[in-house]
Parts: sequence; C-alpha cells; structure tokens
Amino acid sequence: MATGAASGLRQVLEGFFQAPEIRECVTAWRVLPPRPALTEPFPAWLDPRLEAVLRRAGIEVLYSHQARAVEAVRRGKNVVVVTPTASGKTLCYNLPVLQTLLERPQARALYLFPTKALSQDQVAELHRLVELLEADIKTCTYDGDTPGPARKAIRQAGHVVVTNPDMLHRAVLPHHTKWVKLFENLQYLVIDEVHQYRGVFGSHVANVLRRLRRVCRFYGSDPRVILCSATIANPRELAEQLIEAPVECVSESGAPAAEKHFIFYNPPVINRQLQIRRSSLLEGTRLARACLRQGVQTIVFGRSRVAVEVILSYLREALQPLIPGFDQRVRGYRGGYLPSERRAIERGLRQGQLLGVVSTNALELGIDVGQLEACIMVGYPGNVASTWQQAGRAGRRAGSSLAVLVADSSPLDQYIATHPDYFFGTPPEHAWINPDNLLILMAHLKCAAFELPFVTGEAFGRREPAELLDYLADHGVLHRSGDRWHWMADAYPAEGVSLRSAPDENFVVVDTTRPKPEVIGEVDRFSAPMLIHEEAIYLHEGRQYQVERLDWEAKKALVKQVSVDYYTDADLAVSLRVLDEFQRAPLGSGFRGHGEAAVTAKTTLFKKIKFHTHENVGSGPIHLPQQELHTAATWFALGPAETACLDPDAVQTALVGIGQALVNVVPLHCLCDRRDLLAVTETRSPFTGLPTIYLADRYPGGVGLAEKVFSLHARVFRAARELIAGCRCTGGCPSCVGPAALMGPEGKGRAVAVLDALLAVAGAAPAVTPTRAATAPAGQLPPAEGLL
Amino acid sequence: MSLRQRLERLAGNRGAAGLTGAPVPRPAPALEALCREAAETLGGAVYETPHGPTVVLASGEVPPGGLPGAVPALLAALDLSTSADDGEAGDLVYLDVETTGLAGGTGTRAFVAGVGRAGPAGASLRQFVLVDPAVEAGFLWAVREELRTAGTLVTFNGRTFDWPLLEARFVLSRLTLPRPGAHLDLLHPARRLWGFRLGSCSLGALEAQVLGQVREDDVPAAVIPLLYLDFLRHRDPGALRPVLEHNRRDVTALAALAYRLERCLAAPHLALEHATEWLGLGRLHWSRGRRAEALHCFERAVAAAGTRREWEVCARAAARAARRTGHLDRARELWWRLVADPDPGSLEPHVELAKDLEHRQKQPERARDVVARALALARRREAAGVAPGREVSVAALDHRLRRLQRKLARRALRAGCRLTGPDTA
Repeated sequence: MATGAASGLRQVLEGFFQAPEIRECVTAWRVLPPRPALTEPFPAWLDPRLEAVLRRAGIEVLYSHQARAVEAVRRGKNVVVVTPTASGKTLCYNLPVLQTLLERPQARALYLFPTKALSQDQVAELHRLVELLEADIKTCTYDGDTPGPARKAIRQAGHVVVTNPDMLHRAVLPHHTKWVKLFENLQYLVIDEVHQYRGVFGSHVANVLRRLRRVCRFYGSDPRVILCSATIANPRELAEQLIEAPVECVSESGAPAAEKHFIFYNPPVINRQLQIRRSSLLEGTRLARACLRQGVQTIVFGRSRVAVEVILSYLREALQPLIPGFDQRVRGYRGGYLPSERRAIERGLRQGQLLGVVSTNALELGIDVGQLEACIMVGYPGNVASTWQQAGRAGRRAGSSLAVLVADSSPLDQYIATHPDYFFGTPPEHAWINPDNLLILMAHLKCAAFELPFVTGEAFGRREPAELLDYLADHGVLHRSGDRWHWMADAYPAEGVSLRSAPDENFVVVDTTRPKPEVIGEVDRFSAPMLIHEEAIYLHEGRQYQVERLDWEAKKALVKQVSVDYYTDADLAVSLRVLDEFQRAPLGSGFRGHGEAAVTAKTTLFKKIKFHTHENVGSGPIHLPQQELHTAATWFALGPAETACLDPDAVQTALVGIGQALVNVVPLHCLCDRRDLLAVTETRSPFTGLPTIYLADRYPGGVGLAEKVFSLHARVFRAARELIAGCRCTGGCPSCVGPAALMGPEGKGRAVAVLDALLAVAGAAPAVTPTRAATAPAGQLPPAEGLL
Repeated sequence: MSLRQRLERLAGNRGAAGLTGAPVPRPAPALEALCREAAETLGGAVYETPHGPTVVLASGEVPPGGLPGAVPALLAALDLSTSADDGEAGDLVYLDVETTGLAGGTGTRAFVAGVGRAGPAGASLRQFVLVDPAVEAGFLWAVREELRTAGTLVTFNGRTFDWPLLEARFVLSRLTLPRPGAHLDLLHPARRLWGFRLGSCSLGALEAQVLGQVREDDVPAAVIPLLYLDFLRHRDPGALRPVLEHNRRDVTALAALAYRLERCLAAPHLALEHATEWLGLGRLHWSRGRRAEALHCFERAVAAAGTRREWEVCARAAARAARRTGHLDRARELWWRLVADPDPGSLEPHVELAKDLEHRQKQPERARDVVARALALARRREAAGVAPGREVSVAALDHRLRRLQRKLARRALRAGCRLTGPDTA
C-alpha cells in the first residue's frame, strides 16, 4: 500500500510538471531535501527506568534539540524550543517532568495547551509513557469536560495537570486554595504552541501567567517554564514577554525530515486589465482533485468556513462519480462541527479510511491525524508559521510529500506568491503582545486581587499597580486596609473576562427546515453581522441554508435549507475620531502619530455572488447595531511636499490605495491577520488638518499592533511599495491598491509616487527582492530518486 | 490624559464625576481602636487571639424553646450518628456565616460567623465579627476555637457553601480548620420533605411555609455585602446591626428547622401533614436502603394524597418501590389505576405495566393494548406541542409497539390462525 501511494504521489507530481497550464502558474517549486537526524545519547543523569521505557517506546537516542533543551532545563533555565511539526518536541518537556517525578514523587507539573482537543492528544501520549513506566504518576486533563467527582481527585493527586489558559483563569486560580498540593509543589510549567499566544489572546495569557506566579509565590513555589513554539522571528522575545523572565532559546532542530516538494501556485490571470485571477477555490479544487483521483491522502486547507464548504461541494460535484463512497471518504472539518463529528474525522484520517479532508485552520494545531501525503492550501494562511504548520500536515516522518500554496487575488497572497524568498528565508514575522493594555490589565488585576490581596510595593508585571488599585478601591471593588488592598465586591471577576475575543458570545445557528429545530453550528459575535445577517447564505457540510431571522438579543439565527447558485458576502463601513495623541514624529512635511481613537463600524450591505463566475447578482441592506470601539491607532498625516506630485482631486484615491496596501502588508512584519487592523482615510482630517491615513487596532484599547506599525513604518511603507509596484496589473487591481474601476487608471501610479516621497523621508529599510521569474526546475523532474 | 480618564473612557462611563482625581488619603486604621469601637457600639467585647484582636458578641437571646441539644432521629436517618467518640462528641453546634458575596472562590470572605450551641448552662449564641480584613487571622482563630468542641456541625447549605468558604479563608491565612465529627446539612433532608411542595427550598421559604414564621424588618440577603462594604468605608459599626440581627435569626431558624426535622423523623405520624412529606420521607429512607420504612411511607403518602396529581406522583413512587421489593400484586394494582387515568402526568406506568404483562404475566396482547394507548397519548401531546413525558419518548413507544405486534404476528402464524385486529381494552 505504501509504495502504491508513493507512486500515486509521483504520478501527481509528474502530472503537474508536464502540464503547461499548471507549470505556467508555478512561481516556485522548491524541493526541500531530506535531512538526516542529529542525535545525542541519553544524558547520564537519566533515570534508568525512564531510559528503559524510552527504549521500549522506540526512542534510542535524543535529537540534538531535545538534548539541548533537557540539559538547559536540568540547569534550572526556562527554555523555549522552536522546532517544526513532528520533531519530537513533546519529549523536550515530558522527559524532564517524568525524570523529576521519579526523583521526587510529590512534585507537580502544569501543562497548558491553547485548545482542548490538543490537550487530549498530548495527554494520551504522556499516558502511554507513564503506563510503560509502571510508576504511580497521575496525569489528568482538567477542562470543561472533566466530571465533578474526578475534579476533586485531580486537585489532590494529579501529578501532571493538563489544562488550557481559560480553565486556569476561570476555574483554577480563583479557587487556588483547593489546589494547595499543586501550587506548593509546582516544579514545571509547560506552555505549548506559544506562538498562538499573541495579540489579544497572548496579552490575556501573559496576565494569567502573572496571576499564576503570584499564587505560586504565596505557596512558596517557583516553577521552571518550558515553552514550545512554531517558527517565528522572535520566539525568545515572545516567551520572555509572556513569562516575564529570562528564557533560553533552542532553535535548531535535530529531527530528520523527509523530502518535500513545496509549490507556490498563482492562478492564471483571466482579466489582464483588472489583474483578476482565476478563483483560488477553483484552482485549489483542481489540484486537490488530481491528488484524490490518484488515491493520494490529501488535506485541503480553506481560509474560512465558507471556503471549506465551497471547496467540499466543488470536490463532491467533480469526484462523486469517480470515487465510490465519496461522502464517507472525503469530509469537511471546521469549528462549527460538533466535537463527536470532529473526533470521528480525526480517527478516520489516522486510520486511513478517509482519503481526504477539507479543513479550516482548526486542524492546523498539533491534533494527531497521522501522516498525510499532500497538503493543498487554498489561500495563504496569513503567516509563515501557520503555513509551515499546515504544510507539515503532509509527510510528518518519512516518504516524499507535497505542499501546494494556491494564492488568491488578495494582496498578501500576491506578495507571497511573487516573493518566495520572503517565505523560504529567515522567518520575518514578529509576534507581539501588550499585557499592559489597560482594559486587559485591569481585568486581570481584579482577578488577581480576588485571588490574593495586593500589598503596597508589590509589582504586577512591569509596573506597580497602586494607582489602578486605588481606582478600584474608589469604585468599591477593593478595600484598602493598611498596606493591603482586599477584594470586597460581590462578584467573581474571572467570569466576566474572556481570554479570546468573545467565545461566550457565540451565536447559534438553528436549522428550522424540519419541524424539530436543530442547532447546526456556532458563529462568533464579531463574525455574526457578516455571516448570519438576514438573507445570508450559511453553508454547513456542503449544504446551503438561508438565514430567515437573526435574533441579536438571543444570539440566535434561524435558518432554512435552500438550494441557490450564489453565496453572500457582507461589507463593513468604518469611521474614526482621534481622542488623544501619545506620540508624534515628523514625516517629511507632515507627521506620524499614535494614540487613542474611537472607531465606529457598521455592516450595512451584503452582496450575492454567483458560484463559478463570481459575478455580483444582487445585494441587500443589513440592519444590525453599530459597533463602537475605543482603541489604539497610528496615523500618517501627509504634508504638502509629499503630496505635491498629485493634483488635489487625486489625493483621495492615493490615500485609499495606500491604506489598502498598508493593511495588506502589515501581516508580513507582525504576526497578525489583516482583519486585526482597520484602515480609515480622510482627505482632510479634522484632527491633523492634512490628508491622513489611519491604521487602528481592532481590539478595544489596542494590543500593540498599531504601535508596532508606528515604529516599523519605514518597513511597512517599503513593503507596500513593493506590493504595488510588483503587481503586474496596469492601473490598480484588488491585489494592490484596489480595483482600477474604483481607483481610476492612475490610482496605482499615484500611490507609488506618494510612497516614494514618504520613503525618501522615512529613511532606509531592508528591501525584499521580488522574484518575477518562476523558479520551477527546468527539464526533468529532479528528485525522481527521492520519489521512488 | 490621566490613566484614570483613559480607564473611564475605555469602560464607557465618561460622566462618572467625583470618581476622578487623586484618591482621598485615608489614615491608617488603628486596628485595636477599630475593634474597641465596634465592640462598644454593637455591645460586644474585644477578644485577643494569638493572631490579633477580634470582636465577639455573646447573645443571651435564643429562641424560647432554646436550641435543640440533640437530634438523634435525624442523625440516624442520615447515617450521621457520632456515637463512639469521646464525651463531647455529641455536641450540636449551629453555624451560619454572612459573606461578602455568593460567588465563592478565594475572593469571597465571611465577615460574621454566628455559632449557636446548646450547653448544660442553656443555649447560647456567639457572633464573631470581622472588623477589618487586616485582622482576619484573629477572626478565624476565634471561630475555630468556638467550633473546636463541635461533635456535629449543623448548617443550612453549609456543605457546599459555608464550610468550603471557611476552609479557603483558613488556607489564605495559613491556618488549619479541623473537620467536625459530623456535618449535618439541613438543606438535604429539608429538600426531601418539602422541596416538592415549596419548589424553592431557601431557608426563608422553609421558615415561612414550614415553620410558619415571617421575619419582619429583615435585611435582604443581597444587601448584606453592600452593608459590609459601607461599614468598611465609613467605619460606622452601627451599619452592621441589621446584618447581625439577620445572622441571629438565621441561626435561630436553623435550630428551629433542625427541631422540626427531628420531630418529623422521630414521630412522623404526628408531625407529617402532607402526602408529599410522606413521599419525601419515603425517598429519604429508600435512598439509604431502608426499604421497609420507605414502603410504609409511600403507602401513607398514597393514602394521604389530596389531589389527583399528588395521588399520581405518590402512587408512581409506591408502585416502583413495590415492584422492586417483590410486592408485584400491589404494584399491578397501582399501575392499573394509574393507566386508567385519561390524562396522566407520566407514561412510565404504562411501560412498566406493559413489561410486566409481556414478560412476567405472558400476556402480550394486553401489553400491546397498553402500549398502544400510551403511544396514542404521547402522539396527541406531541402534536399539541407538549413533551410526552420525561421518561418515555414517542420513538421508544413506537418501537415497543412494533416489536409486540411482530411477536404477536409470529405467534399467530405459529398457531396457524389469522391475527384479528387489536382488542379495545
């Protein structure tokens, strides 16, 4: 079977290579060579029982990064391990933890994973080792699904407690007196998937960790921290920001890797003037079809739930006649599915009954689905780390594998597709958090005060919170007595604080097609106005549903199954007002600043877009509450010298174009989604008195993104210019400044002219050279021996 | 813009005048003086502990009947007898605390602990008052001393609320709180006996509906945390008076409830008035394996039932118990009466009777008829938008009916005769 599958993949590769219409679209075809393992013997201090168990589990030596990590931990350091998928990173923490538990049975360890599913998998792996050890070591998952009676036992006796930050925040820390055994003896804190803890979530988690450390201090423990991260530009910085202590970084993986073909695929241009490319959904589906038809086990990543459903329905249409039992062999997978459905799909992939899965990034995290052979990413996943993680789903240990990135028309995708060196070079993206966001800090300060009284002079993170504590005391939340602030309100503050954007605020989608209504999915509050407004087409398991009624108060959308030839897409209207300026710096004859702003956003309109042709076949209004946001923003006020190149009527289009390009390229330098930023432009801003571009954080109070853009402005300008200039459209297109139809034929040139003027005054910034020519190998498919 | 202004704007309360500006400096409270002042105002005394001072109020005012000194029947019924311990093991100590909130967790604290006991010199009530969070260790130490001799701790909902809350406070003050010999939480037996009738089983509801006492001028529970915060801010100990009075009444009510429960268990024929009380007592006995007592109570419940609905509930429980103790004739008698009801509250008796008819009495035709009737009822209810009943679904009934029909058809074939239409029983 294995050889048969390998030759299937080889046929797919040959097919891609020989088809001119495919090769034309390939902008990069890299063959990542197999890498041998770098190994080291087990350390001398390793308990012989543990060594024996590792050998029985098939582990004879350590990879070099594992050896370095466990030695550093042994020396009492905090460590962050940065390694690719499937490089045995779990051993980097399981080994020191098990060793310590054998030496000191009363010791305790706490494992944090960002998601529940992930923790289930990791605990299963730890379980297997513990079972082989035959020692009295209890490893337990403590999350929302843990039954009541088990909780008590875990609090008392669990040696390794596996949980997530939300549970720690809501259930463990506020009840720390029930966890005396754990906190008194806590020796290790393990934080996996650290790169997930960025932005809002990361800023919250950093505060949860501050609280954890306070509680540990109270019980006299000071745990070492072992962190694991996917590849980002600043793993050590992020780790140190999160735990606010020095961290040693182990970054060179010693794990072996099999050969991997990595293809960048840019769909053909179908409208040269508008630079519109064929839909990535259609192209991705085509490539996936080729893999599935050859029996190559394939995962297709779509960027949204809608994309997943659309791809699934395209695949079904094309393959149902060719693949018997298609519906059982190719499945969808995304957040809105029920947990039992998801578990069944994961099992099907591991055991090979499933030939293919179409998924959102829900499957990107380390959930064990075994080895797949091909991974098709329809649309750039948004950052380099996620892209490598998704690509890592194919070929986890041995045998050749294929990863294809199918770019869509969006600017970020186009930048990546035409600048493969950006991707294959050093990781350029920074993860950032802002634990001192006033709203987030305040929320956790309350939780911390609830957990233990604050003492004068006690720091919380980087600052002494006396002023904030007095503020809370004035509002009757705390009571100050002598040198202490005591919690005094009749409330449980952790309940009101969600670490993620707003998971409690989910809207449920109820299918009312049949007499008995049935909940078929959930949508977060932020997406609700866009996805489940009235008349929206909601897709689930490849079926279409139309929203008949959205009950905003009850957080409920009632839908009925329909069959139409279009899907819906909603528009967002935004305006911004500056409240306060924290910092200002000259920018040529204008200036740049950052500070606080009030943004109002409203979804006003949706469009109906026809399948396949993607033409607009109708629209309608959306009447939903306006959302107001107080946040952080950065602004660029353009002075007369920099706009001199334009006649006054042209300023508007240049601003909009630059704003769009900036939002599109910020994710190249900061680990974020383009939706984390809002661009607003004004030809004459009441605040600056000049033509102005604003970039605002989408999170209340800001989580540091706008501020980061303020300091990285030269790089961001440079990338925006590269994006626009590198785009092969004539007068502007959705991939750079926006469609020429909106921008006018001169739009692109104007934006570049202004950016050049800005770059001339903003100072030099490192440039990324665009790669225009495709880097596909010439002649014959080179790695043939590797494939056979 | 100051931090404070930014906070207020982010929080969306721009007009909060009076809250901006620097905090008002407060003099460091002299704890001794605070305690003295509170003791004087409230009529108590300052009690020196190794962990600092605390305030204690000794109240002679106990209810006219005093606090019951022993509740042997109640303890026995709940398997809580503390017989074999030392001399003081049997002492009952009543505890009720007032707290800064109901949320639980480490941020909720007890600030008044009322401890009542029935000693040889008569009943007494002592109330401990936390004058300031800074003297909590002394407060806790004093409470612990008072509880030290408790053989049996009597509380209302103390198992889930008061006791865990105190335990957390002790851990936070780095003190230990030994467990009492036994913990009698009156909520559970009270819920058994009166939950059905009252719906809500709060102490207030029990007081009003069972003990027939109505509190006048009582401070609402929700206001208590606010009164304490007010006291901390303005340092007027008088503000605590209503809370202390509330706590005194709580302890008194606790004792009265214990007394009432003791009577119900020691002499149910005299003390119980309602069918549902018998039903609850029966369930209590049943849950602890005292089946004979339980059967007796269920039968009393059936006999005492006043309304059709009450009778139905009691009869169902009695039938279930009768079946499980092998009194099948009695169970069948009750089932047939229950099944005859044209609008029953539950279809469970139909199913039970059908099983009995099919498997034990070997009368599948009659079983089929009973199920057919139940299914018709369930369908009618479903059509009317009413849930057919907790225990039984339309699908399950349908399945059962089909199975019975198949069985009968097979039997008819084997017997070589044709199946006639269903009888109309």
